[in-house]
Amino acid sequence: MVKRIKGIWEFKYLIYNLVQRDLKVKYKGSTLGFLWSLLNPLLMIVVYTVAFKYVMKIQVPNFPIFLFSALLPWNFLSSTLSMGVTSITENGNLVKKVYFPREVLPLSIVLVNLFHFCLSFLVLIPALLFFKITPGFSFLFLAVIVFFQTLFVLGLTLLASALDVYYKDVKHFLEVMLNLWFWLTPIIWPLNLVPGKFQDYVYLNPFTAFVQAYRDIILHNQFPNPFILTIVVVTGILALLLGALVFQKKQRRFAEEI
Amino acid sequence: MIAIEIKNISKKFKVYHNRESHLKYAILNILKGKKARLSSEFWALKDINIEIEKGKTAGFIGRNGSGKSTILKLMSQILYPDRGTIETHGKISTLIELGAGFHPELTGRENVYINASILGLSRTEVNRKFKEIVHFSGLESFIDNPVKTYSSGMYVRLGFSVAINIDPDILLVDEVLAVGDESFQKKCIKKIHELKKAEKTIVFVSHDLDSVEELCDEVFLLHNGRLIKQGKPIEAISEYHRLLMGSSDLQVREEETIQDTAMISNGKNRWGSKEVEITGVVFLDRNGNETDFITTGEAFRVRINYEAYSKIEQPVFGIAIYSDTGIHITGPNTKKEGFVIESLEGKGFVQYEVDSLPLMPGTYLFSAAIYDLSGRYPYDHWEQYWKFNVQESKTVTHRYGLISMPSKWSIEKK
Repeated sequence: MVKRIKGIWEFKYLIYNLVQRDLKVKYKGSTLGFLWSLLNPLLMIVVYTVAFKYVMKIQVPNFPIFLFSALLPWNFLSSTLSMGVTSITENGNLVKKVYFPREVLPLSIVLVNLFHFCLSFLVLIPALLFFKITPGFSFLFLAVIVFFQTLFVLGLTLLASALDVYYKDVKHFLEVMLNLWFWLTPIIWPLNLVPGKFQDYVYLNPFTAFVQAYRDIILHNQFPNPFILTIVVVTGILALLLGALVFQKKQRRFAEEI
Repeated sequence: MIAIEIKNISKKFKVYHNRESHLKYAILNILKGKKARLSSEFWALKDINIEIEKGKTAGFIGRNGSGKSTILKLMSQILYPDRGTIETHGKISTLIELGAGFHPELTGRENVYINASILGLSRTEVNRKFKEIVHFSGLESFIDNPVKTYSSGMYVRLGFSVAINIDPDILLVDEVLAVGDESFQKKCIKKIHELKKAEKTIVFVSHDLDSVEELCDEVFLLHNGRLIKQGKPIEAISEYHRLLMGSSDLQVREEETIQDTAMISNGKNRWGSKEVEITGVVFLDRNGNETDFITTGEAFRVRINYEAYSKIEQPVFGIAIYSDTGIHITGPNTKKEGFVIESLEGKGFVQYEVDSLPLMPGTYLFSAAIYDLSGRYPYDHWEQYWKFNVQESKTVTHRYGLISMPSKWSIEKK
């Protein structure tokens, strides 16, 4: 495993190039360029706020910030997974013809999306000011949560992209799963909507802890509680281990199976 | 020092009968608790043992499907063996797909950087080599245009330039030297020679036997996934020729050659219009006995049997003798030596005689051909098809080199 990581590190310049290429190609020729990365989450928040606060009348204080603090991390997860699942199969030509550590492909997708994710946090600053929330010391803790979420996302992307080579249904299965997962996670609904005794079950969904951690920091301006933080750290590491192990085992036959 | 060490390698491939129902079967198998047949297997390589020394150029030849590309992919870690191990020492670069990973929207410059990093270069290395790469490709004036505006030739040239200029310890090449126009090809061959001189290890898979012979120090012949011959280029190549003719026996007999005629009509080592055919070649010793063993310094005769199916005016018979390292020793023909054959019809033989064979002991390859008077129209040409052996003589005491010249020594002291 250590050798593998070292091998990937040797190709860091390739990772850098792939990330840069994806960013460049995405915005090449568009006038607004990177602004699209900001406009997209902003627009989603406006739509969901109108729909849930004013149409469905869900009673949550600071609804846009409430939504924002969960929706952006969710977008990071879901867009990485739906882009990353085909990262090996789509680069089949490359995988069949040239050697490089195959982890580089899903990893660069994760990094591209991480970049967008961090950028979209920029929208947060004016929004917080607008809702008169002053970012406190706890905001520094965001970096920790983002880090473990990245491990979590990377693990799942490795897993999905490796399985996609062997089973063509993985991509479609993932699409359905993501949709379901979105509604099972307290993103647009507050956790306290669930009756007290069932609330623990919601934590069986590993992403619930991440959402709650982000909310503790952004919405309540406080350190996430230790229970939630433990789940975040453990699921992040476990997901990465699982993904990396499956990937390493499966990647030996990538070139013949694609 | 060994650059590549292949120990006992076997590689099998799965052939899927029905790709789409993959997951369905996987689930059904779990439910039923038994294995449904999804695929069959075949061995692309079986029990291969090879060592390639550092600084050497090794070639792999064989028919399509013989496993030669598979072995290259195993060396480059694109594929993994099912059994055995491969050890490589040094940085590897693979020239398999040129321009793999080029993105059409990006400029040539941007793609050079990405492509070089796919092949494992760091940023400083690419910066250092960038000029050389672009210069080699000859695309200086297009380098800042998106590659989607390139012609396919330009595309391949740029890809090749990146791959060949990244300065690996081990270079793996699969059938890509024949890119671009003639002058670019010359540049490529020249570059390969430079790499050879720089003590780089090169592994070369090709159908182009001329390049294999020119470039390689050692050639491996694969057949149905097995290594059947390993040795000097000319040995492996002539064995390959025999293989193409449907016989892997080195001692090809006259009767067999006639039987095999139909099979080899498209083979690379025989060509011609066949209005007159060479039906066999026989080597005779000083006593006129048929043999493949001749003695240095003794009489040597070669009989070239022919059959002309129509009247052939003024044919020219020629032969050539090569050493087993591929050195062309002699190539006489009837025209040059003023032996005029007015015409041929039906069967017969032409005899070539040497009173005292000057060849030193060893194995030699023999070509025979019939051309028209201009020498440009081949009736039947067999290139390095036959083989004969020269054995040591009791009377000729020379020890070194290829030939023994009648000679004497003298000394004069002043």
